[in-house]
Amino acid sequence: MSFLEIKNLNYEVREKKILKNINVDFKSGKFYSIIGPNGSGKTTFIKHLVKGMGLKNNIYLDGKSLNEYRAKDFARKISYVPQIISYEIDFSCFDVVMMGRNYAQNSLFKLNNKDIEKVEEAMKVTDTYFLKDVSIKDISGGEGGRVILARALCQEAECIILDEPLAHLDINHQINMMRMLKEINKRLNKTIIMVNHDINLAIKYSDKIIVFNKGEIEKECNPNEILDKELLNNVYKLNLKDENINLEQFFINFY
Amino acid sequence: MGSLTVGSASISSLEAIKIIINYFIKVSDGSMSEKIIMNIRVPRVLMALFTGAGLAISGVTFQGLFKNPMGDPFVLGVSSGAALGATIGLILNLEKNNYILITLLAFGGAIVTLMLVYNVARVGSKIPVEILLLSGIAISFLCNSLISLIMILKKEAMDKIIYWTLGSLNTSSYKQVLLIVPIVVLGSLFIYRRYKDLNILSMGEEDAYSLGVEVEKVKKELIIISSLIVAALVSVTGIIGFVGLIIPHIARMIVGSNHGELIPFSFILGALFLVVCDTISRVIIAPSELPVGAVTALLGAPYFIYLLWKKKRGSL
Repeated sequence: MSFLEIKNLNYEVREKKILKNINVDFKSGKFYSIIGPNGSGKTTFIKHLVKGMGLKNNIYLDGKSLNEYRAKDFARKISYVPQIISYEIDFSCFDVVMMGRNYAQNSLFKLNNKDIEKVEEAMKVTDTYFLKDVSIKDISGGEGGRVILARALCQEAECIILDEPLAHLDINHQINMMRMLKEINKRLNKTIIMVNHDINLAIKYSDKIIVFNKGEIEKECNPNEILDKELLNNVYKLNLKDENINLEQFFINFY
Repeated sequence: MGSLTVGSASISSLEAIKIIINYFIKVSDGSMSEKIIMNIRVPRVLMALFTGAGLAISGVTFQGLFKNPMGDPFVLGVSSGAALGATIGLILNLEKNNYILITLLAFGGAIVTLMLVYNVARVGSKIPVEILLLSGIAISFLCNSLISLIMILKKEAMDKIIYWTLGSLNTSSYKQVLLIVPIVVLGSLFIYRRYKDLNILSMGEEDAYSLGVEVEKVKKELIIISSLIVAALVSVTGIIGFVGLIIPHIARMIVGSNHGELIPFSFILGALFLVVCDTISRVIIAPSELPVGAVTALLGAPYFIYLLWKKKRGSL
């Protein structure tokens, strides 16, 4: 079933076309990776999905135009992990993760026990429970990324959209995060859409890969089809040779 | 309570308490002391409490929304607009007919400025906060230069205008209290009602919508309510600086950034701070008075610098 459908999305800033004629269809329960060089429009595209930039009537979520959504209903459908910046603000990590439950809370004063449980579980899963009482301004970029992921998890939306969540993570936590996302995707049937610069990880974990180039979708394909020398050399301005691409292990040797 | 007892006329604490209690159990003795306490000092302390609270609350709101430590209640030019309104009233000598006319003109000036700033910054149905800040600053400068121009052209009104702008609580009356208290209390409750949204917005607008916050609607609501509080306060008391800028920072250093605690704490801290400052302004060069705005800065700035210095040492 089509979960998120983008029809003919164009976006320009001062005559410069950032997104050109984007048509893409995200199916429910699949794992998507969006790859592409810097400046190819990936983040702008993601922002259209989660924030709306005045063109929401090109985007349909569960068959309904984004224009018709109220924020609280949107939050049930989609949770979002933005590119992590450092936070200057003094919230405990627990408070930050609890923001994921914001849309479901009615009381100004009392925290629901169920919400607290969900927050604590999400923090345990993302290996951030030990940061519970620490201020978000005092933790590292990688820890911050995991806290924001915990926030997205306890939101329990049908889909998680992530913008380069691996950027600040060490290798151990990179692999952990990919495994965790894959498990959420399989076990809870959640749709995952992530921008990812690591092509090898994208191949290993995704159901579909979408390649952005110069504001357009260059290719939407199965993971193994990305191992195409011409495509990668064209998009990334590389100089890969046949022997760099290992079709048996789906692996690109860049070095 | 201390603030009730100190002033040009000396009345002891005990006496002051007695007078207030007597007043409420309807045993009025009509003495001079009673008149001073009930008609001058009580309304003045009430005004100081709620003015301080209101300025602090709107400072908290602006700093949260703008994610900018320089945010203060006057940043949108509301105060300059009010001053311009009052200036126009003062050069027309309207205060001789009825002082309330000056208040109304100041409030009108504040509202017109707010609308102007808001519309300059508006892009479609959105209000980008950076543009809002800049247009506030620009229009603020415009109003201030118009005031300077008027003062030069109408030198005889200069004293009145400067005195108005400095901000003072010495005209406090029950009428003012009745006007200000509901605005500050209701406005603060309204802002508090949004504290969770304000928490999310203060972390960044990008992911606020997907966390269930109607970003533009909440922003509009908060900007308008806190500006109205400031507009009402400024048009009654003149420009009392520093409270709205510093109190939220001090409160944040003490209770953290969570607006659930920050808003009530700033309310109380702002109220107490202004009562203390006002009391000092009344007694320090008694029998004449200092403008309370000068005292807030004299007292607040060193303390704030001390906190910054402590924080700087702590973070390295």
